[in-house]
Amino acid sequence: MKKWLIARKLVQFFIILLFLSPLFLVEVAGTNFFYGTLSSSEIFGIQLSDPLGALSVTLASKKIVWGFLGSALIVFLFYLVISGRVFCSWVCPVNTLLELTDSLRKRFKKLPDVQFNLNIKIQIAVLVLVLSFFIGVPIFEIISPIGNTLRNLLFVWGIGSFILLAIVLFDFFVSKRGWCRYFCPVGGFYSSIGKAGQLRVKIDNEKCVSCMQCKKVCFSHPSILDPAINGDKTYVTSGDCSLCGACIDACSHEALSIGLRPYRQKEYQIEITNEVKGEKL
Amino acid sequence: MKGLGILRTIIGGFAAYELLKLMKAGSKQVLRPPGASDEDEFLALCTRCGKCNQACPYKSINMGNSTMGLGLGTPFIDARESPCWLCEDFPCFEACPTTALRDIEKRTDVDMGVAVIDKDVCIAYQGMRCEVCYRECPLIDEAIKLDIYLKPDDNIHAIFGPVIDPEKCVGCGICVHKCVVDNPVAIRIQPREAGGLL
Ligand code: SF4
Ligand code: SF4
Ligand code: SF4
Ligand code: SF4
Ligand code: SF4
Repeated sequence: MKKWLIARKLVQFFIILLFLSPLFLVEVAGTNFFYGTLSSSEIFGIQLSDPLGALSVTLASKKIVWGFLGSALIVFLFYLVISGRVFCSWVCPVNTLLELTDSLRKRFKKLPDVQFNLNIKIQIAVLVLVLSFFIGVPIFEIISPIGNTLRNLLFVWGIGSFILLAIVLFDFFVSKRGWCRYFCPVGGFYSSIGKAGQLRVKIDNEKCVSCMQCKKVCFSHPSILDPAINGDKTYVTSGDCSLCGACIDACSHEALSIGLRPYRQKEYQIEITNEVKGEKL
Repeated sequence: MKGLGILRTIIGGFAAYELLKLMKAGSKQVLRPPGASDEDEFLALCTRCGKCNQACPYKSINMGNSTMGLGLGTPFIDARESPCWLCEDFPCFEACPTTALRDIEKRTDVDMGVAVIDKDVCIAYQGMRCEVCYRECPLIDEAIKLDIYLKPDDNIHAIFGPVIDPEKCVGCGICVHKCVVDNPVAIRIQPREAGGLL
């Protein structure tokens, strides 16, 4: 049974329900237990804000708003402890949309899958912050497909939807999961803190038969599983792992599990490479 | 990142910078919710979360689309459609996490803009009794007063012309919403001075 998939779909569904709740519970925010968007929201009176957005605003305005930064710090610490890109596969509505695109993509065998460097999204995140500072506007908050998805659902249909469309088409016709894997700055931001996460996908090399079933389904990138499968590492170290659990579901030898990060790492010979090896699965 | 990569990022970044600066100039001046800082600062501080939109009980706050350039996703008010009703507790301002909306305690702290009357269109100035804007203004006899005088070269009729006090008018747009003349509306709001854009 695909336990992780079911758990994740449920969480994704409830997240969307949560954000839509002000629409059908009470129309006026403040009287609902929840309101806001992923940029900033409030649940039972607690403010939560997107850390990358908060950084951008701070750099753009050159002003420190402690309350706002505090609300972003809560979110930041949560993902720092769990694992950065958990946001991507469990919370982000764009990923929910792009997973649909991906499942549609599977029906067409001949679509190209152009690969890029996995670090580009981190570079874009840095660029977003630098540009926000110089232009004086939090750039990514404007074009963000995440922000625009929620705007379309909550406010009025059509805001920034061309950006969303472009991303969907790109993922479908050019590069499998291309936006999330290579370009999204939010993904890049979380990926950069991902290595610190205490929860990791662990491998039992006794059980692993190197069938590569896990690599076929990996949300982030198949290559991030290599060091574990090769026996160089005892767990998936890459900050790109989103703990989606798809690899665990896929492994029929039960070699994978999610657990606390082991303290001691096996001696290793090969440094984990983020360069894309051009494999197609 | 290798040499070529760095170069590419720098060139890309520079192109983006120029492009975005162009777009910033294009973000047009609109009526912002009460408490908005000046336009440049507002564009920097607003995280485009939409909480103010959700907080407004009258659904007066809209979110900007791509015609607003870098203002995409920022809140604005279309006074003719639904003005700011100057809620006692300013829920929109309370909702804002970033101080993009700030410094309001009472109604008179609001400074969204100032109403301007087009005397050629306003029917009160043509000699008809209207005064709708005057009566609907929450700051009646302060922000808006009536200038009553005899119609020139007409000894029977009088003019009851509304006059705005730009010092007192808060720019809420209630008068614009209620104005009985259409196409064009006889009164409109000149948004508060926008830093650098005017
Ligand atoms: S990479 Fe970006 S768009 Fe994709 S899931 Fe993560 S945050 Fe969402
Ligand atoms: S390694 Fe496993 S848990 Fe991590 S992103 Fe890939 S499939 Fe998901
Ligand atoms: S003050 Fe009241 S009416 Fe005006 S925009 Fe805010 S919430 Fe809406
Ligand atoms: S609540 Fe504040 S930050 Fe959020 S959209 Fe409104 S003005 Fe912008
Ligand atoms: S905008 Fe109109 S209704 Fe509002 S204070 Fe000014 S004159 Fe009065």
